[in-house]
Amino acid sequence: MTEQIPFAAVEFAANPEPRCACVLLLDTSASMSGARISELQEGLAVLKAELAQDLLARKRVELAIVTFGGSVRMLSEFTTVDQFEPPILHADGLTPLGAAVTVGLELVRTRKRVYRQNGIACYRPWVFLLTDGEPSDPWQPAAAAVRHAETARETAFFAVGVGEANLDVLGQLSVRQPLMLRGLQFRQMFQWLSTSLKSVSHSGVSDELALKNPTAPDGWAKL
Amino acid sequence: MTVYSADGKAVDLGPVLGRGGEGVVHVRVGRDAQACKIYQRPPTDARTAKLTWMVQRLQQHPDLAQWCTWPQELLFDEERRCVGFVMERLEQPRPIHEVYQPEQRKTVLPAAGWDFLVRVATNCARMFETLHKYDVIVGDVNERNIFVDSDATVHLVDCDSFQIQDGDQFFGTGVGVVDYTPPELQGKDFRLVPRTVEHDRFGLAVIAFKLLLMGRHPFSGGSTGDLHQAIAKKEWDYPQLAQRLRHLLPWSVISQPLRAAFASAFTEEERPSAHVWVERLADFEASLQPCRREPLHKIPAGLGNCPWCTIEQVAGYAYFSRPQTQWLSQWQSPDGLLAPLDAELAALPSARQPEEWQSPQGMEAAIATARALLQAERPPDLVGWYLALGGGLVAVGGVSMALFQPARGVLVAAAGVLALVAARWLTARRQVPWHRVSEEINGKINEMREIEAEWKGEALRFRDQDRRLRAWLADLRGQVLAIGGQRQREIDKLEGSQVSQGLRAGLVRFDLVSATIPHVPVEKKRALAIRGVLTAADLDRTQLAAIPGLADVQIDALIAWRHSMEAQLTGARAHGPNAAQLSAIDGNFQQMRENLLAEMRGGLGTLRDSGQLADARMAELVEHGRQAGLALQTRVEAVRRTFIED
Repeated sequence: MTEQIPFAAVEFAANPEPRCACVLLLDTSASMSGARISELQEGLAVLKAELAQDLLARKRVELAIVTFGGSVRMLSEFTTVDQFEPPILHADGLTPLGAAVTVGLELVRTRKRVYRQNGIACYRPWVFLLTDGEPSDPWQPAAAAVRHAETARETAFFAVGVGEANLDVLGQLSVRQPLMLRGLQFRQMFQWLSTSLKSVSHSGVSDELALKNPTAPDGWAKL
Repeated sequence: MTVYSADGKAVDLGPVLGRGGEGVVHVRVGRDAQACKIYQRPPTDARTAKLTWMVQRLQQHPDLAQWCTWPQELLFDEERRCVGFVMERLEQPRPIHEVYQPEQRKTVLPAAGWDFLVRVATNCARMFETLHKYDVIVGDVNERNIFVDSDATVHLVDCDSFQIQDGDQFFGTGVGVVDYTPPELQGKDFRLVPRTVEHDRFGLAVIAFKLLLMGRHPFSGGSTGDLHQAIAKKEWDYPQLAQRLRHLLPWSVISQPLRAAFASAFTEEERPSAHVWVERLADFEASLQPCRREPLHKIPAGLGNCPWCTIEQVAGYAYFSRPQTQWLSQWQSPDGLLAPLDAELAALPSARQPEEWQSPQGMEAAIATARALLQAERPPDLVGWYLALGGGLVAVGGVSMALFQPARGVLVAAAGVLALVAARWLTARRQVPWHRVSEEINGKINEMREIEAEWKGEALRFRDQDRRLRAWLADLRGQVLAIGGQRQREIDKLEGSQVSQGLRAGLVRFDLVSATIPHVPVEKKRALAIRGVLTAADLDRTQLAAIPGLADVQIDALIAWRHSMEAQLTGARAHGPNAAQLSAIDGNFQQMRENLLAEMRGGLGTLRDSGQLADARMAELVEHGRQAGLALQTRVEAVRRTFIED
């Protein structure tokens, strides 16, 4: 496909800024219903608001949202922050976490290919997984894919557990230390995510960033 | 918090203008042209010394503050520790990335052409030239600390991070942004490496490049898309990239001296000085002139085709266009245009039914009188009768006399015959005019019937003509109203065709078999291919659901994959008809509407004229009938006197 004439040219002519793709893989299984899903919904609004305040990040960070509750759904395609509208989340069904991770990795890979076809510089894409349960599908192939993507420095994969999330599984999925959300501090978590994405999209540094430690006593996460 | 100037006077801090990584910038109350930067943590001794040096330096060289918010005086807390400084307050702080990014520039500076961007680049070069003249190195060149005014002048902020060398004194920068860092510094620790003028010159070249080449970073092609690696490996490939990507400005449009300057700045370690940039950019700006079609399209003199027009045609993106609200506002609602015509129509008398016209007076009465005359008993012709009787007797007498007196008898008989003949003649003489008179009167009656028929015919004709004209006007009015909808449909069609054609053409390129789609193994893809599902364009949830052996999760994955492919085409989707296409549509429909309105104005004129014509014609007929009635009455009276009453 690399030989083809890129089609998305207009988007990149209008805005040729380097891009930082970020996929949020959000657990919307039945166990997320109630306070969790409404806090998560609020958190998405916070993420948009925080990122939109940054004049450069709003042109550089591209968000996509994939939910997994019953089935894997792409609720929001890659779009720069200035055009991003948080989708409405509904909690229902089982937890096809493995499929979601595979979809997420494929999405950032494809998106990066589009950037390259259009001669757009990019930062390492982020895949940010949030779950409160146990995968209901085989997740081992996804774990292998995450390891491969991390080793090849293709993608930065972050996993965050909520409530009764299986940290063992998350630990095997993610190369990085998975984190547990303190209570329902989704807002704080998305604030941290936006700050991190902002610094990624400004630094131009492709190596590891000195991200603010979310497990500090005032942070939103615990190990 | 209260802060004090060097002479111990309290300085009022106003509202916050901005927050940075290390401090907050406030309005200085009472001095509108000034702002105060207050550090969040007290500056180190080295930083304080640097600021002190800078404030002193400004006394000697006031032009240092011409291009940047150079520290003008220090600010202290109660214990005389430096907490910040006073600087110039920028009127319209617009970061340079909002100026070189095409889409944002079109909004914030809609009237800016390419020459404006070249001028901004020249001013950036002048700014570096001035600072370098005093051995000041910017160090942390980036798109967030250069601000552009609407007159293309530029200002640097964050001057406290400049690198300054003065004899033994050295004040470093310590920070930097990869995008503007030259190859030889990539990956180095900015806190440890002193910056040189050459490093600044790389940053300046990148800024100038972005301004001239529509926000593109010169190294954004690269092999991996990673700017750090691309710059370190000097993978500067814009000229090749511009050949492959149709939405990029061809490299040859840039003047040769500028191309050489860019190439040298990006690949060599001895780079063109700020002064060289000033000269070459100014020369280039002077060579620019508008293209024939769009005044904002500035092109070097002597260039045949306008590259900006070409990009609009082949890539569908307008790098320069005035805000679209301009063409939108040109389309006015038809109400305002129709109102005067409606009023004109309402002012005309409404269509008249035949019975509403005044009919000819006196005709029926005259006809009745004439009929009565014709049927009246005429008195007998006594004179003729007596004469004939007398003549007959005389003739008979004459004949009998002739038996006795032949000569006298013949004479008497002849006289009698003569009297008979005279009687006959007299009778005949009185009968002929009556026939003539009744013929004449019948003729006059018929004439009046004709006038009556003509009046009726004309009344009907005028009513029908009036109806036809009004129906025609109503039809034209309907057409005028319908044009708004036609215009919208035309725009929708253009959008729709671009969307669906664009989307479909794009999706067709994503081959299902070669794609990695979770849950959909190769065998499944082959099975789909047999059913004609070959590319992303063929994926439709309803159709997939009808295919046996396809699990829900597989359908979801296929649709998700299609969506992700669509997402890549959003650029095509977001791009509707451009302003030129829209104003062409509007132009067409405006012309059409103008024609219809002109026709309506003509129709109203005809309606008014035909009404006046009808009035005149009907009045003429009424008068005609009245005169005819009067004439008949007079004649009938005369005949009655002649034939009946004597």
